[in-house]
This record gives sequence, C-alpha cells and structure tokens, in this order.
Amino acid sequence: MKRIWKILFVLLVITVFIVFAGGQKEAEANTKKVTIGNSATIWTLDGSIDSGGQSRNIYFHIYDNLYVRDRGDKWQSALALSHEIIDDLTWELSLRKGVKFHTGEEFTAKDVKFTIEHVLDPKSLSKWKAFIDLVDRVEVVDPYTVRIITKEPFPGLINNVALIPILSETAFKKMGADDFGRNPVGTGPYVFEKWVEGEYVTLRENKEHWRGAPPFEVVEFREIIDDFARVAALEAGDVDIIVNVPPDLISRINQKPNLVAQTVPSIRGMYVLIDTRCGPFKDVRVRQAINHFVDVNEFIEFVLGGTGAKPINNMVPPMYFGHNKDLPIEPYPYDPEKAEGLLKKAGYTEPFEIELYGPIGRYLKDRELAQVIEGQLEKHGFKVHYEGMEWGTYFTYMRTRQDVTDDKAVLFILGYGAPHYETITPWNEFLRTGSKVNLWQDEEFTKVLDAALTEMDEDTRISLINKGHQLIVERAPIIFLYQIGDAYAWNERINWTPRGDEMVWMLEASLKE
Amino acid sequence: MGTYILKRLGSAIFVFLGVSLIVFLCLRISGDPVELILPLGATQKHIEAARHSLGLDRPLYEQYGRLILNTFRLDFGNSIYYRQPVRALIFRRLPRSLILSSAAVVLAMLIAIPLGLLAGYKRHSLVDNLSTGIAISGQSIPSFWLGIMLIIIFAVKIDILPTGGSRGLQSLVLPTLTLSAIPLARFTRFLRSGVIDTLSQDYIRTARAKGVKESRVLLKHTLKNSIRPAFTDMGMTFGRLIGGAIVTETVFSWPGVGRLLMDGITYRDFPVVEGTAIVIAMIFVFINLIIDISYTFLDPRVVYK
Repeated sequence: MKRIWKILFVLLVITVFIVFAGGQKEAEANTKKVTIGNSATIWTLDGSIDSGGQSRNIYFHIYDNLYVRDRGDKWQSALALSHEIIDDLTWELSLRKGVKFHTGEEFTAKDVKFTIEHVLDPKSLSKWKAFIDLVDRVEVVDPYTVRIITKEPFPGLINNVALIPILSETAFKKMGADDFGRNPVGTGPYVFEKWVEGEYVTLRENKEHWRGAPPFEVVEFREIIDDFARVAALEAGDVDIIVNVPPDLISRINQKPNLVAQTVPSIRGMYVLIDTRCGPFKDVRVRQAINHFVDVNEFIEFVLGGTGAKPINNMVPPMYFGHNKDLPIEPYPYDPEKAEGLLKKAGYTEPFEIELYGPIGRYLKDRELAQVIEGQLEKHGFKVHYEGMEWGTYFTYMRTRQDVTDDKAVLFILGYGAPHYETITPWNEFLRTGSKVNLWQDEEFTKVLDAALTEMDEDTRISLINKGHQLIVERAPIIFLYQIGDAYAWNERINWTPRGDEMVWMLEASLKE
Repeated sequence: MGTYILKRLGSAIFVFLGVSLIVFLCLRISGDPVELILPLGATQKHIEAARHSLGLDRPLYEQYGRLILNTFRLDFGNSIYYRQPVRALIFRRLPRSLILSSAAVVLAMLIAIPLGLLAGYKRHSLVDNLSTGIAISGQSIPSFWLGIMLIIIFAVKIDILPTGGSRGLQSLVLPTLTLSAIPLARFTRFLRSGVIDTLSQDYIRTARAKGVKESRVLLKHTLKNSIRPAFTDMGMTFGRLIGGAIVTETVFSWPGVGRLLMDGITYRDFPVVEGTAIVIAMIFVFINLIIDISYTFLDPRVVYK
C-alpha cells in the first residue's frame, strides 16, 4: 500500500502544479495602460461595417470621424472642419489638412468618398448603409473639399454621416476587406496592435495624432460577456472601466474602496408597440387605458432601482432632435380608475385577453419588464399570455405580424437608441404606414412624418416633428415606458466621467496623479 | 486493423453528411439572417441585395450542394458577422478549445483515478463517501456558478489568478477547474463501479491467494480491468467539451469554438454554425476512433478485423 500512497502523492503534486502553475498573478506593469471591459462581441475592426455601440468605442480610438459629439451633444469638428449646404441636395465639406493615417499616408477627400461609397455598396453589408441610404454620390472637389449629393432633401445628413469612421482607401484596397477587418488603418489617436477574437483588442498611442499624443500609452478593450465576471474583473483590478453594470451590483461596487459605479441617462428608450390594426387596440381609448394601467415608476423603482431610468413620452429620450417640450413627460400616469372609465367608454366592461411578446437578453432586464407588465395588467383582470423569445426569432415574429389579421390584442416590447439623435428615424421604422413593422396606420401622422423627413428648414422641421410627437402622445400607438440609464463602473485611478451617448473615449480620461 | 480504420473513416463521411444536413436545415428553419444583419431601416432593395450577396436567394439544394462541395476543400465561406473566412476563425480558436478540454480531462483523470480506485476498494468508507460527494457536487453544481465562485475566491479575494482571458498558463487554471467538475464526477463513479465489479472476479481472488501484493492487485489487475468504461466516457466527454464548453468560455472570456458556435447560433451566422458544427463532429468521430483503437492496448482480448 505504501507504493499506492507514493503514486498518489506524485499525482497530487502534478495536479497542484497544473492548477497553480505560474504562481502569483503578475502585477500590472504598465500603469499608462487603461483596460475597458466590454459586454458585447466584437465582430470586425473595419469601422465602416458595424454600428454597435461597443464596437464604435473601439473605432473612436482607431479612426477619426468627420465630426464628433461633445458632452453637450453638439457636433465638434474632427476630420471635417465645416460644411455648407449648397442646395437642398448638395452638401460641401471642408476637410482638415495635415492629417495622416497610421501608415503615414495623408488623409484626403478621396478617403471620405471611398468610405461613404464602401458603406453604400450592398456587397459590404454595412450596418451604416441604412443611415445614409439617401446619399446618391460623393464628389471630390479638391484634396480637402468633398461634396455629398443626396437623392432627395436629407436634413439629417450630418447627424448620420458623422457617425461613420473614415477608412484609408489605399490600405483597404491593398489589404482587402478580410485583412482590413483584422488589421484596421485609420487616422485615430490609437494605432491597432493586436486582436484576439473573443478576448481583447489592444491599441497603442499614436503620438503623431493631429490632436497631440493621447493620454494613455495603451488602451485595451476586453470582451467579458458575463455580467458577474465583468464586475469581478473590475474588483480584481484586471480592468479599469466596465460598461453595462447590472443594477443589483451597483451598490456593491460603490462599497469597495477605489471603485465607483455611476449611471447616466442613456440614448435608449423602451416602449411597447401596440398592434393597433386588430382587436380592442383598434380603439384609441383602449390604447390610452392600457397606458394608464401600466405603472412605469413601479418597474423603475423595484427592478431598475439605481440605474437612473426615467419615464418618457416618446419612443426615444428627450435629447433627440425635435422633442416636443410642451408635452407632459408622463402623458398617461398610473391611474386604474381613469383607465377603467376609458375602457367602459370604448364598450369594454370586462378585461380581455392580451398577448405580450418580448425579447430575452436584448435590453437591460427585458424579461423582468415583460413580467412586471404582465403582472400589472393581470392585477386589473386582464388575462395576459407572455412569450419571451431570442432576438432573432422575436424580430422575425414581430415583422410578420402585419401579415396576420385577427381579433387579438397584441403587444411587442421594444427599445430604440441611436447616436444620430433623429427622433423621426424610429418613427419612420416603426410607426409610419407601410413601415417594416406596420402596426399603426395613421395617415395624418405619416403625412407629417414624410414632410419632416425632407424638410430642410430647421424651424419648420422642428414644428413638424413636434406635431408628430403630439399625435403619438394623443393616439397612443405605443405604451410609453422609460429612458434607460446606462451604468458604468471604474477604478478611481482613472479620471473619467461617463457619457449618456454610450461613448467611452479615452481621450476624455487620464490617470489620476 | 488497417481495414477497420478505413471502414471507420468511411463511415465518418455519413456522419458528416448527416450533421451537415441537420445543421443546414435547422438553420434555414430558424429564419433569415439578413433581418439581423441589417438595421431596421433597411429598405427591401437593400435586404434583397444582402440576401443575394450571401447566396441566400438560391434554391436550398444548391446552397446545400455548395456547402458539401466546399467542405471537402475546408472552405466554409465567410462569416456574415466577422467578415472573415470561417475556416480561419475556427482554426484560430480550435487550439484554445483543445487546450482547455485536454487540461480539464487530464485534471479530471488525475483526481478521478486515485479517488475512484480507493472508493471502490474501500466501499462505504470515508473515501467512498467523499467520492460520492464529489460526484454529486460535480454533476449538480452549475458551471456558471462554480466559475464565478472560483473567480471571486482566487482572482478577487486571494488575487493569485486572472479573472479571465487566455494569456498564459495562469489563465488556464480557473476554466480548467470549472470544466473538469463534470468529467471528474463521471470518471470517479465509472471507475468506482468498475473497481467494485473487478474486485469480485475470480482472477483477483486467485491473485490474492497466490500472495500477490495488494498494491499490485489493485494497480495492475484491478485498475487496468476497471478503467475501460471510464476511458470510453473520457473520449466522449472530451469531444463534447470541445464545442460544448460555452458557459465556461463565456464566464472566463476564453475564446474557444464553443462561444464562436453560440454567437453564430444567436445571430444566425450560417457559415459559422455550419463550419463549426461540421469540424466539431469530425473531431468527435476522430477521437472515438482513437479511443476504439486504444482498446487493443488496454485489453488484449479486443481485436478489430
């Protein structure tokens, strides 16, 4: 038996060696490095393809855009110094001189033309294409002047085109799309160094950047999809900043020394799309009643507590262009008595059955939101059938709903947020007659929307959007919910303040002295 | 033996055809990936152009035929999301999956062999109860919980290991511990049963009657004859872990093929799912072939004709 114990001892030693090989965790040697813990998968580093918020945060470091938003949501010049509207269809942009790509080649108007045309090329499958689909062509006037010609008046051109990172035409053509997506070349403050897909992207400072040397030598973005693991990585000092902090962990983080968690009002709004074509929801009074039955503040307080969410009276938060300031923020406050009165007026003496659909894992606490709405409506006698689905299935199901006509009362939970801040874009996608979803067919609203989409005079456009907003509030094609709060946490060795537009830009951060 | 191997490799073609057909059809039933790639504002023209660009407007038999032909050249097309050849994506991640799965299986075997042997040898003893406890815990504790607990203890509290990633041997430790929990439990139970069964055999009684040392009875006669079921299970488990360690890979940000496959399924990245599933299936077939062949070394009675 002695021999068995000897063998066992050797096995144990081997096991311990395997498990604890390497000894102590290496101390972070490079203090001029900042590491950001992302929660989303990074698909490509070709900035002209993906429009995801966390991918964009990487692109902001590798590339420059034509304009960049400041913390007051105003456009500041970046690669474009200024622009002029020549006529309703023509925009002329003056470009910054002396800017160099990471390859050393000079940035010129041909790179802007190439990037926009690449986005518009259907083969690129760029997510930006829908943002600038009204662009007809781009003309190079001289190396530092470019003209963008649109198919029809497109007042939101700058709000949309400014979101697209500008690529190096020469590098792209030399490398090809596949290679460029893994080895991007931009003019940004950081040069691409390494990407291990599914794990991290490392960027190194570009000392020659036109803004001057950036504050950190190295910026690293890590993919930590799991919420708890991301928080643990912050607590362990493996990362300095994390995004999408789960609401229930905010107070825990704030109790730790040197860590701080904070929420900011985000650019995303949550709402419930009502199928107004069928069943009881054809009647505007029923739609108004259902709004009064849902207690948004209860959900905000008990489920989103601490995330800074706020009720809104639109699909998107108030910072979007054309928000009607005269409308009450909570047009349908929780008021079951009023709701019952509205139902009675509409001829419904008894509550009815409702089908509620929602995505799972797409938005912060989306399943809980559905369950709370289900519970609140059932409390008032409605029989609610809730079904949660994975986003792909859900989206397809929602899109095909317009092909069905029945007597059901159907609701779809959705969220919308985009850095163009164009209120009419989500209206166009979800609320117009003939939209892809097409569950509200209101001719008056669609007429106002169509006029706003092509109105070049800013004041007239604002008044049109205000009118559209008023119609939405009055006719309630949605259940008005809330503006999400974005939660961030960071190590106090970094001087940094989170922004509401999901931008995590290390040019706005520094190491604490 | 050579004929047997050739026959097994031949049967792998049918496995490939079966797997590819099931995956191909399931993906097409799941819906149109274009709806997920393009933003909501995309026009119908834009959608149709994207479908054409991805070859999704072609008849199903043509799409499947293309998949089969291209697979023989190890060309699974380009990922819809990554915009890169799927082959390159898989082969960049496969080594990490193989390392993690191998480490988990080796660790499980290293602990399970002595534990299962002693548990079977000393039935109803402390060691046996301990092995039962490990087996039940290993199979019932969810991977995500175990992973998070290990991170909190070793990366946050004691601070000796990284929370995640795949940089260096240190980062392998916690995912290996997490991933080995289930195989450890299974091997231990398989081995314990095998040992109990073997110890009741006549040849063990004969060996003891001949005065063979107990350690020799255990290690030479008992272990060798008890390990085969556990060894078979190890092969199957190893194959499963390569593509199935999704939770562990997610918790520890370990960039293996499991997460690649999961992302592919979530976002309907058809080429990624097809390529990854086929490669994993082929590895599974290959591992099982190796296991079958290794029986001839473990048990001389096994002869393949």
